[in-house]
Amino acid sequence: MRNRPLYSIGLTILLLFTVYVIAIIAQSMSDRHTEYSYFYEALDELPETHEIVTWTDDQPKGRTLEENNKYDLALKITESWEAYALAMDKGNSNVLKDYFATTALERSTWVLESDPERRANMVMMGMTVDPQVYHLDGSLFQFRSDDAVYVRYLIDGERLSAFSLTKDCILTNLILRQSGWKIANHERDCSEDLPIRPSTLPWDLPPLKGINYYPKNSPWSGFWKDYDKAIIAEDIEKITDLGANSVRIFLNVDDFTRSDSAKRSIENLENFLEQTQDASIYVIPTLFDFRGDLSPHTWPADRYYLDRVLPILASASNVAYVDLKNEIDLDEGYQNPALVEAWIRTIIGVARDIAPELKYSIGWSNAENATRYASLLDVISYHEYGDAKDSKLNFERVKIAANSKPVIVSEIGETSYDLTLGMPSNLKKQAKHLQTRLDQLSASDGVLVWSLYDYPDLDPKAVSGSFWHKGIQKNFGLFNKFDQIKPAAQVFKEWKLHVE
Amino acid sequence: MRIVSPNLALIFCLSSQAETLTSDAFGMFQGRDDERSQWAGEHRICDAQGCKSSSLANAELHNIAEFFGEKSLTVGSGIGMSLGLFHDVNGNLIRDGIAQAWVEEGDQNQTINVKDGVATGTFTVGTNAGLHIASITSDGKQSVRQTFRTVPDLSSVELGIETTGEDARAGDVFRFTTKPLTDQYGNPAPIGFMTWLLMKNEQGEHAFFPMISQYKNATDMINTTSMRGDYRYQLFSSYQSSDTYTLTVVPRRLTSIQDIEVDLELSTNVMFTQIHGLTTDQNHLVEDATQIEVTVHEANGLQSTYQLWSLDGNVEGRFAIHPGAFPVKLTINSDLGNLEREISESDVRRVQ
Repeated sequence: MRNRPLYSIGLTILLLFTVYVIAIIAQSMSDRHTEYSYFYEALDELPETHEIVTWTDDQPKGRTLEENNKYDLALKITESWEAYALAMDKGNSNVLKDYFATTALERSTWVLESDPERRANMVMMGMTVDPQVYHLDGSLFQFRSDDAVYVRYLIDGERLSAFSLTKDCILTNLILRQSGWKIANHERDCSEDLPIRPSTLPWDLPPLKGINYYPKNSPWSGFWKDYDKAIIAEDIEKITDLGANSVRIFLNVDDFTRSDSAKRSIENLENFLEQTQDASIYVIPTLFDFRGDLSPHTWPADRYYLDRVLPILASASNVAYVDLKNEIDLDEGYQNPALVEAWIRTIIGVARDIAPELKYSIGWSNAENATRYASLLDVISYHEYGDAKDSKLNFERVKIAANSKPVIVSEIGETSYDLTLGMPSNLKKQAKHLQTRLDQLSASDGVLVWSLYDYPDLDPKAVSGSFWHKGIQKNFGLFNKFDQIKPAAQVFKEWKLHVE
Repeated sequence: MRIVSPNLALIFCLSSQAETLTSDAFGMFQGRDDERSQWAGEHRICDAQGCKSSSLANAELHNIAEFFGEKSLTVGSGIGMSLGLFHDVNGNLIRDGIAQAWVEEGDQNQTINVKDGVATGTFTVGTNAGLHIASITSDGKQSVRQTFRTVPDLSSVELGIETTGEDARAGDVFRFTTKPLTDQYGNPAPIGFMTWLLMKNEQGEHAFFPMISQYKNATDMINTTSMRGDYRYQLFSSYQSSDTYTLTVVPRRLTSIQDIEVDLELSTNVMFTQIHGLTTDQNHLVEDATQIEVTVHEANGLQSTYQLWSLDGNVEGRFAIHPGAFPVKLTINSDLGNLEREISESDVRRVQ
């Protein structure tokens, strides 16, 4: 027929149009509205303040320091320096008056007013308080600290032009006014750079063949809230059946810091490490998931979080390394890159100070960014979702730049989402693409697949976007929502990882 | 030009060779800041050649801020702390030195050591309750004088009641007055010092009421109208109790009647009788609702008894009589005593 080509073109156009219409209809059907009965349900909860101050056992001269006094003072010291960072960041001196008095207020106000472009800031990231004097009438408290961690930085536009992370020896007086404790004097007697050298321990792990893991019915923010030991045990068995020797998990900040969940989450983390250790599975914990705004006054809370989770991880023998932040390069898309840099440098330094025995990495979103901060890290890790055929080349470039540090491709994945007629993908295509990718990365020190399961109910905090995008994201699993193994799982199971 | 310290905790970029980067206790700044350069402590200065630390010491003493407390100390035993905060003209803490702490009461002086901007001395306060002054001096500088108050030693205030030994008569208002409320050093208890009087009788009835010092002593009054007999009472404070005292309340007596009006209703042979002005020995009318029993003794030998209640010192009742009743004798009985009155036929008004 002479019109055969025209007919084919027309049919293709019709098919694409049909797919488009289906997608639009499905999108509008999936839009959800949530109705709240009370304002407090609709609003975000206020963040809790946690002190990042510890105490020596000494008693001060004068009045006895009781536990409730320590609690009040620790909270006020933390809040005061949070307020300082906030004031410098926003250029608002009013908040200083609530936390500083006399000389300290004059000085902090001077610092703020002499920096109208708000380039400089300073954040307190923890200290041990050594009480010196406490007035008999409770009106003045003096302390020293020999290990007060402060980060100081200067930002010019989007460039971090100066950064300093130190342990300071400080002398501080607080006076008790009607409105509460305020810092009246603050002087620094000495300082030393907080060492953030990479770990000197060797990398003696086998090649890591692993999976990014959430349970089937409780992904993302549900993982720790709905933690179930029996389900974890079943999933570990599945993971080992697939020939994997590692899992990557995510430690949400809220779950490990909020007073109504922290204790339970830590117990569950200990259980998870124990179960995986018994199964000879290495764990790559990823920190600061769902960490949003990186404004400097929020950084002390990060110290609190690290103090809670790092000792647990350090005491386990099967933590391969700690992924300090998932895809921090994407944060630079909506926050000042200089601020992001200052934050991550601080976190690296503080983490190494708390748990120097652990190895650290950052899970970059792509190979291009993989070697950023390489000199500060022990493991280089990135995610590979680009063209599968480029995976090997990308890896080799990273490996060269990593300068003999292990390189882990901590996320790869293919979707099996089939909207219609094998578009955009299907089970067969998923398996095929995964095979290609894995073969390209067989020389790496580790590859972890996203993910163990399909997740039909995506966490809106983790995945948003169009119906199309969500559909793709829901179907990356090696097992489908009915717990049936997919062909891609077989590919993964049979694949062998070699280190050249 | 980018400079990185060997252990990677410090980086900075200088836009020119002449620039410096300084960090101090309050942060970091580039270039020159004359104000901050006077803040004592460690300054870390980085330039094209690298980083160096220097420590700026405090200048000479400029002012002393004194904190004296606690603000209310008990005489004779309270320990107050005099704390000085020492600054130079730039607001830096004076790290070491010598000072004198002084308390006006007893002209007490102490040499105290200044360390890290703070010096402390403790004083045991004297025995005179009241407002006192403290200050700290050093190197020709003096703090603003602080005032503090010492309060009486309330635990040593002995309790007692001034008594006359006289009985109270029921219906009287009886006043209790404490003996002077002073501590062991003679300081009067402050206004508002709380004591309690507990009073009880043999039947186990008791009353408990506060007596609050109005300066030097406390007083209170009770109404003895419903009281009879012996009552034991005792004064308490949070610390001490007094001896036990006895108050005897002598009952009132019904002593007189002002007059009696009688209207004889002829149709019913009923005497409508009003007894006015039932009066006690204290010349008070009997209280309202006092129970009065009236017995009507007729001349014919008949008698009848009526239960009545007083109002405004008066009692009224309707008494049925019989032929030959007069003269009628009324006996009026109550807890306060008994009276008798005779009513003759000529004393009555006849009404239809």
